[in-house]
Amino acid sequence: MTDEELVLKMQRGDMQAFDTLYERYKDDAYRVACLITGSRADGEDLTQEAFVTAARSIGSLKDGSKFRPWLLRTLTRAAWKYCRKARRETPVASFFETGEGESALVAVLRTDEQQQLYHALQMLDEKRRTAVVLYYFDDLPVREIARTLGVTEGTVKSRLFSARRHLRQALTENEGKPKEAASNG
Amino acid sequence: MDEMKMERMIRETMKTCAKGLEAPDRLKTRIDFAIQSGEQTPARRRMRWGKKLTAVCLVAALAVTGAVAGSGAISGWYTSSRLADEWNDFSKTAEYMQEYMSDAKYIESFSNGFVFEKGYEQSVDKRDENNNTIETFTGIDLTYKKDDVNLIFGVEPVQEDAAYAVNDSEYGTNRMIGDVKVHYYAMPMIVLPADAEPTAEEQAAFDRGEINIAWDGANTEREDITWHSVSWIEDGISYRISTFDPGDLTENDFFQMAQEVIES
Repeated sequence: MTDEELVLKMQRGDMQAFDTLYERYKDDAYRVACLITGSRADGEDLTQEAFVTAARSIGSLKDGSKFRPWLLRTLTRAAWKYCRKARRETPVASFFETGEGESALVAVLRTDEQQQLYHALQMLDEKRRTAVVLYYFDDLPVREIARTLGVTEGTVKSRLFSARRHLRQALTENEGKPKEAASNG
Repeated sequence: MDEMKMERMIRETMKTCAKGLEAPDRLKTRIDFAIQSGEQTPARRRMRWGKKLTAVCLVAALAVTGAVAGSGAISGWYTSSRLADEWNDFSKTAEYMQEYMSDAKYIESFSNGFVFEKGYEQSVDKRDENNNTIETFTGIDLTYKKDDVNLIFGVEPVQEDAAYAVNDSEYGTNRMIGDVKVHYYAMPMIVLPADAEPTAEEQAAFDRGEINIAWDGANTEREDITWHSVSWIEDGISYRISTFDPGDLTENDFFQMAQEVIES
């Protein structure tokens, strides 16, 4: 059954259709949320928020075939809100987990270069990081990212360009440092 | 490191991080519980925009027109200022702008003498007819002052579900500044006491987009005012410079100020 058919069923009150959509997109949403927040626990909270919001406001979705980008948009905006709140309350240095906690994502990265890149990614602001996640992880083209985030393609390109510049700079700065220092991010 | 290698590395790093990540089983239980036990349907709240909340609410009232036109579910935008997030210092406001809307343009003063006075955050809830918040976004307002005239410069991310009809009203004037279409209009408004209803003629004028209607609990009589505004959208961000009392400012002055921001 297509997303469009499932959304139509949901709009008529069929919550089994919601269960099917959840099964279809739960992992996509969870992974994107984890990558944006840098934490499994927060990724779980945000995925919950996105699906609950989707279930409650499904009536406003006019084109059911766009369920996935609509869900991702809800998710990314919830993630931005979370990131802003967390940044206000938490010192930047301790905001992103450093590999010790059970929910940290960085623990699976084995090379120094990947760990440096990961830490540089987490130092991007949430909008640039989201653009990077959707482009490089979710493999969405710029046009789709623009639709998902509700911005112009130019803005997406600008965020990606700026993110790449920042990441390149972070990696270059670490090139000359001893490996132990660089890997401590 | 060359471009291709870096792109490959970004992709691989993220795929590696996400490998093995699966939504935990308990998540569905949490979601079902939240849906079933969530906040439920308070009585429908009629939108009333108090003049005490200054121009911000009136801007929002205008935005509601667009929101309703663009979506069947969102019945209104509810704007609140966060006084805790108010800055009298331009550099602090600029810092905040940079953090939350890094692509936004803003300037400290205009060539006609208007100077930055303060900035503050605006939180906007989009709610459905049952008063459930569907979505929230944040905008930032900067106020400018010259003599006794105050201007509000509002900046917010463009909302896709808003028609932004007020940005292209047939009752205003459009000019191109570079590639950006800029719209100026002076919209008549009526401010009614809290329990008053507009006349049929006023409602019809509102429906045609000719006037706007606001309510103010402090008003005992109907009041006529005019809202002057220049607005544009650039790179996914909506900008508006507005005031109820423009002093000597002319239409050309509004366009000139817009140009100074666009070219900043």
